[in-house]
Amino acid sequence: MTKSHILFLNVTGIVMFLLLWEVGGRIAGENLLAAPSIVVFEYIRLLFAGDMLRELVGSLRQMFVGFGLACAIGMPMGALMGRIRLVDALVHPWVSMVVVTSAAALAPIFILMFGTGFEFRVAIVFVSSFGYVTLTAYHGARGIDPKIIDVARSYSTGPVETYRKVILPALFPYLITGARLGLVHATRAMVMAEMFVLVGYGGLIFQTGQDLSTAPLISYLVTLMFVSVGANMGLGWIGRQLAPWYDSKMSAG
Amino acid sequence: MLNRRTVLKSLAAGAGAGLLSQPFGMTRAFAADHAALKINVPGNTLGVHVPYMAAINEILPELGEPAAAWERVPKLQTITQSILSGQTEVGAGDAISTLRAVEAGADLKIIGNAFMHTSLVFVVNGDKVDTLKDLEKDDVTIAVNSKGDFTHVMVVGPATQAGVDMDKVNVIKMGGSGNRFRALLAGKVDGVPLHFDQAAELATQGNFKVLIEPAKVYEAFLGEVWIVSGNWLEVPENRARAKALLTATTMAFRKANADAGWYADMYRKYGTKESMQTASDEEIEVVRQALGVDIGTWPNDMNHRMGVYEQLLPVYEAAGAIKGSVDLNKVVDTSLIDEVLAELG
Amino acid sequence: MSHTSGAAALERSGDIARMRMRDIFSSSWLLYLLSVCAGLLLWHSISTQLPGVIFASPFAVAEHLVGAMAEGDLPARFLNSVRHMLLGLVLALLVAVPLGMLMGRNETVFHMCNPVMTALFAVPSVAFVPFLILWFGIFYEARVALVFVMCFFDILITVTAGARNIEPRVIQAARSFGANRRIMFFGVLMPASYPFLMTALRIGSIRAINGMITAELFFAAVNLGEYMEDASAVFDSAAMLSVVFLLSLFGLLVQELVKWSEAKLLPWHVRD
Repeated sequence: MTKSHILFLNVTGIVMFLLLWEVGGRIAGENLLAAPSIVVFEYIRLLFAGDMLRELVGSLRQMFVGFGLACAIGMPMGALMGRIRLVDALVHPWVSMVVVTSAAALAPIFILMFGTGFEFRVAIVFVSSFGYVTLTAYHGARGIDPKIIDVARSYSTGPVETYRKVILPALFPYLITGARLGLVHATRAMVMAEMFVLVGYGGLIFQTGQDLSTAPLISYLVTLMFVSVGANMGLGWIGRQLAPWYDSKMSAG
Repeated sequence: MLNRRTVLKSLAAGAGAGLLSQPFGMTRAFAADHAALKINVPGNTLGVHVPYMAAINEILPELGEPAAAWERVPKLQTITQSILSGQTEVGAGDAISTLRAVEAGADLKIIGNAFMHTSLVFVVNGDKVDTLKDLEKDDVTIAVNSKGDFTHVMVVGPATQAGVDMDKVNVIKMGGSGNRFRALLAGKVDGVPLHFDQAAELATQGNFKVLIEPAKVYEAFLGEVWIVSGNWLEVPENRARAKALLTATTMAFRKANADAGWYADMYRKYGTKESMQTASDEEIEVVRQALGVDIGTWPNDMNHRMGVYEQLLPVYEAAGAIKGSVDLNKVVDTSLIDEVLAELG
Repeated sequence: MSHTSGAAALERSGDIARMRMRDIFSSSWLLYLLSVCAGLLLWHSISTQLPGVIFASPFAVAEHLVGAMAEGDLPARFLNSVRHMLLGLVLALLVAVPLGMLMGRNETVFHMCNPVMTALFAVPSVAFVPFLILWFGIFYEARVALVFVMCFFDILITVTAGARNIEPRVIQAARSFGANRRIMFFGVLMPASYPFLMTALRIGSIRAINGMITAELFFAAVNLGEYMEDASAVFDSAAMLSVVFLLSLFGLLVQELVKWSEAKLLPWHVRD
């Protein structure tokens, strides 16, 4: 299939989706599902009204602190788990537990521990993305072919050198994948936490949901979609720039 | 306190966060004299909230204190909870959930009123609800701010008296009177507590009626109160800051009662509803009369007295909001307001 | 990668390896126990630093769990919660698996649907809550709908990716042996799909459990959500943590169950 053929199909798909949505919106009415023709104008209005972008930037800043911490702690931890059996045995059960724990159930407890501001949102985002980042790094570190390390050893490379020149590059694609997966969950957790205490961008979404028209609500979701898709593509791009061997097939799925 | 906060922080984000926010916490504890109070306030500022918003933004600086750093948290229950974490210093929250937290072993203090009584009324969709008994219907859903707070109690009390089985009533939680307003208007719920200025606006838009008026049912009723944590208050600097807050609030109450022009300015400046920002002096005066004079939401002496609580405790207990095992002397701290009143005269 | 090296190691050192395996197996149970104890100890030591209303100790949680279990209230609520979770999950599987297979095996459908699906997947499912309230109200239907939305996209993406990655050589080989459509489907495509269908089931059920409690907290509070709300209203941190603990345990259990059945049903595809 040629590139232009794929592009044609992509565009056809999007146009068909928009058409379906438009028809559905016309039938259901604005207060059940605003049609794209209405949303476009509402979106432009909100874009210039300022609230949307201001809240979004504020929320994203807090999310990236939590997500950054999850990467900073989860990646080395995952790598250690993958290379050292004892660490793995001790930590793995709890990391698995963190992965399956629902962030929504933690929210009421975290409010008591961290309040409703910065610390709360950072903590929720951290907990929800930490497990994914760690486990992906773990699988990467475990999967490193021992033969490669043997080769490095036989050239009498020191442990630090081995780590820097052999293990890290082999791990890199996994770290980026982990970050992409973690980011998906970080965004989910951020919105959930904010909807729970009704602050920030999530609060905006929830409160707009009570309005008569659904056009502003859809506008907020569209922005969120742009941000999420953009961040994911950005991470993929960074991955390919920093490590040309980063296989795009590894993208989070 | 510092120890607990440290533990919490390192828990929050592991060692990294601990390193990052530790210096932050230190400055807060030691430079309390100059730090702005961190306050959580409810989601909307309506007529009744205007004086305390003016107090924390305008009057505090007049007293030589920095204006408060405040954030909106629509759920009252959450405001009380956020004080426990130590992340927020003061909350304009709900007395009932504070009493409940203390019953569970929390160390919280109520140091004053953000406003007295309540401007809330319970408004229902007139097409579906006519009497209190109708609340039991399957297709009727009511929304309160959060379970067991004063927006809930103001319904439970009168409803239980009228023989309504509250277990049969569909109750959901919805933070923010503005949200509840829109939900009722859109027909998503059938009964909500709203501030009376909102209720008047709603009445022009359809068949909505006031089912419960707490001002008529209860002689005294607690609105929002200033909540702090006990060990926060033990720090002398914090005590001074809390006192400044109460001084500012009392001054704002008096100004609101005495100076219609000032109240109108503040009303337009801090009101969260668009119509508030463009309201005329006459319109605002109606609100001020109703709240300040008729209901008496801003007493000149703040009316933060143990007697009020002793009187209300059985009411809250009857509504099932609290167990009744709470030691009021541990929660209600009137020493600060006494000092303030002695100074202000 | 890892199982090839593991297999090679086994071949190399035969009996010794088998003996070592046994040692590791027995000691890994010990380590597991050690890990659980260490975690509980950490939990306990944190809880001693915090007031009981904020964070309960593991003992308080255990005590609460025993009491609540004996009373029968908590298990009953749990069962009720699981009901709408299962319905949502099954519905999501019924729609997402065929759609994912179609997208994965048909290039035209894939390129037409992919941009829209990626965009919808990017929106956090919980952000659809206001819509679900509009369309389904705040009771049973809404909860099932949220569970559905929360696992649908994750399942769809997993199945699509899996179906696209079925080794083309396998299919070509089958074709060159003259396999007809029926044999192709039942003999080649289906067995090749089991592994990623299992993955989809695992991811989907975790998301469904997540969706179950999210729904109960965000719509009208019922079952476990109500239990948490009530506990939160009276500042009973032991009860709140009990629910979280139960849910996590349940999640782990479901995950292990899927993994175990995968090992039983698909012995040729054992993950490490």
